[in-house]
Amino acid sequence: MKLPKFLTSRSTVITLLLAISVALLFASSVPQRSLGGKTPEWVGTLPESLQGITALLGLDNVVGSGWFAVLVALFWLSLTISTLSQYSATRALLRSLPSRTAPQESIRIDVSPDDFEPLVQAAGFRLAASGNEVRRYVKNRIGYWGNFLLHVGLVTAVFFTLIYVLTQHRVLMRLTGQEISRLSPGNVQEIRGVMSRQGKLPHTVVLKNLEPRFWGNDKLEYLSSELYFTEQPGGEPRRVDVALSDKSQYGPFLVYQANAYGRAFDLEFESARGETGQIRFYLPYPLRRDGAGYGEMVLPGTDFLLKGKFYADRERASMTLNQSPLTLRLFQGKALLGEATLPPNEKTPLGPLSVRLVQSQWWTDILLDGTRGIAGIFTGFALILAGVLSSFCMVPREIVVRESNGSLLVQHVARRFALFYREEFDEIIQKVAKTEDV
Amino acid sequence: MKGSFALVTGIHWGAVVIYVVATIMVAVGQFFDKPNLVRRGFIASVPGLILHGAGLIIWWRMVGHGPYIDRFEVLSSNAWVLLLAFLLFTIPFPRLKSTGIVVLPTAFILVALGLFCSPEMKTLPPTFRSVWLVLHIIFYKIAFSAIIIAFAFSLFYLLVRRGRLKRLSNILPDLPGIDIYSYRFAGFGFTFWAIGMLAGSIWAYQSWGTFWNWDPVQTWSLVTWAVFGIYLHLRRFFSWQGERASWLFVVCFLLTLVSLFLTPLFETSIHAEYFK
Repeated sequence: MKLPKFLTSRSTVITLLLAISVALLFASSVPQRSLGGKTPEWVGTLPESLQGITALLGLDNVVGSGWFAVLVALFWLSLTISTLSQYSATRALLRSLPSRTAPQESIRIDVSPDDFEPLVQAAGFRLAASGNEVRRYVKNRIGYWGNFLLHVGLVTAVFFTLIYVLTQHRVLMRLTGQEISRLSPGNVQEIRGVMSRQGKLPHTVVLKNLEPRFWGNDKLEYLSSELYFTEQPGGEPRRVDVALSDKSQYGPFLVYQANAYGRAFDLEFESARGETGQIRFYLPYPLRRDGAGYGEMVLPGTDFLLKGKFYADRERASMTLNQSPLTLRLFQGKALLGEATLPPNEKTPLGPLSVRLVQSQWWTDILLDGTRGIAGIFTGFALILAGVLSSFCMVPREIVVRESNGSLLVQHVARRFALFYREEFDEIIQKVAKTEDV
Repeated sequence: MKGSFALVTGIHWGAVVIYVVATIMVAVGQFFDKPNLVRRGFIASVPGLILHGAGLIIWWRMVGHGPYIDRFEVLSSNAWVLLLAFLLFTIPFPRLKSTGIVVLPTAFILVALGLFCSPEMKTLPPTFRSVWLVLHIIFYKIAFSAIIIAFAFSLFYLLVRRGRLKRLSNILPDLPGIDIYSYRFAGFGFTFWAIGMLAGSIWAYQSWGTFWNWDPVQTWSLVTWAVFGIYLHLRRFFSWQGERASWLFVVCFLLTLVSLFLTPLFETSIHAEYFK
């Protein structure tokens, strides 16, 4: 069997579709590697030999695996061949001339072909083919291209999905004001596709400024970040401004401002035994002037749960940040051990600990997306819809005229909804009758 | 033009009155076989549409964004798009005028419902600034209009089959014709719904860097679209038609209502500001 025939055979296409569907079903029902590339827990519970097989088959990252890319590539090849044959078939259909023999549903009218032509043309039908005393008029020729367009759309969408699968590279990072953040796989959440070497990360990034603006009703109006990226050690920083709904390009990456933002509080703890430790406590920004931003975390190395809150404005009169103190509560299990509101840089007792607020800064999440192919996928879907629209909404209709013993046998053909378009044919026939009367 | 709540609500009530008058003229004309009265009824709805459109534009200027957040503006603009789409559709499909007795009352009921929801000036979240959002919403509104027309034909089918609506027999197509109209407009609705979802995905990708995140509104929208797809598939390849196809479309229509007007109320999502 020739390769094109094999690739477009029904059994091959169904097998490929089934395999892709099963793979996607598996990927959506079994936990996969998340942003950050962390291996899901279930892999760790498997015996070592099975873990090896899992890694080899990429069962914890199905969409990013090589075999999935091969399946998609084969499907794309099959669709491409099918599209080419659609093109030839449509061209042949447009030029084809029906047989000389008139079907039974044809209507006999006593009018010359030249007198009949202006009537069908006035109704929007154009001559598509003629010869051997047969004329074929078509209305909405574009409708015949609908299937071809749909196929082109599928080919485009699948091709760019393949590009997406191969080049997927998304990086989520949490930046804290004025701090230089080194971007390495260890300290950002990153997900990569099959071509894992693609898209080198910038060396560092600094969040120079974060600017939230609010409407009078406390809702967020605008959130922007002023970022400085350096490409390599010692390199010149390059400013990149992003805002919600206003992404920027940096090298191969699109830089997005995420929704999440707030204040990061650097706290220094000291236990009764004099042991010290520092933590960074991220709290989301309050949603209302009279509401607080809440957060909690387990103190590292202890079983203490730290809960914190702060208001945007000390007086709770505005959403603009204004000397708002941080209030902390320390729990062990459900027992409240202590509560304190922290003045800056002063050691304050908090249950069995003492705590000092070293500084507070803005924090926000920034997404880098170096994946390719999204625009192509959208274009593919747009072409699919254009195909559906042209074949469904612009249904091609034909009037076939056959000369027979000095009169005409006319036939109306509609690929779909024949009944729906019957009236337009009846109107033409009525006009013929009027012409005859005159 | 500087607007006020009183002006906008006054204009909307004015439009409701005109729509009610147009509905009465169309209904009386259709039931008592007076084609001229039907024609005048449709003509009478045009000034209402213009007035209604003016009210929406004034509201748009007042709130500083399109009619896609507050319940009042969503319902009002849905009604406006429905009526405009209906009047435009009647040009290539004159038989569609028979659905005027469903479309016109739906339009004024939607506007009145919106007015009863107490219009509020809502602020726009920063992620809602995108031309793709505008396209996303426009296509959903067109889809909703096509679905209402298809629903009207499905209802007609079920009623005519039971020997009702005899007075409308002159203006309605025959039973198979009603069935095909319903099928065609369901197809339009399905297609525009798909375009709306695509535009929404592009908007999401532009705003958040992700084109789909399974929030409840998205999920229900996808489910509704899939059920429409099943309906069309059953009709095209399994020869479903008539009674059972009409009943299935009624289910599709109910799903549409759930998807567009109920799911935004249940959960917080990226559509959280919509229709609250």
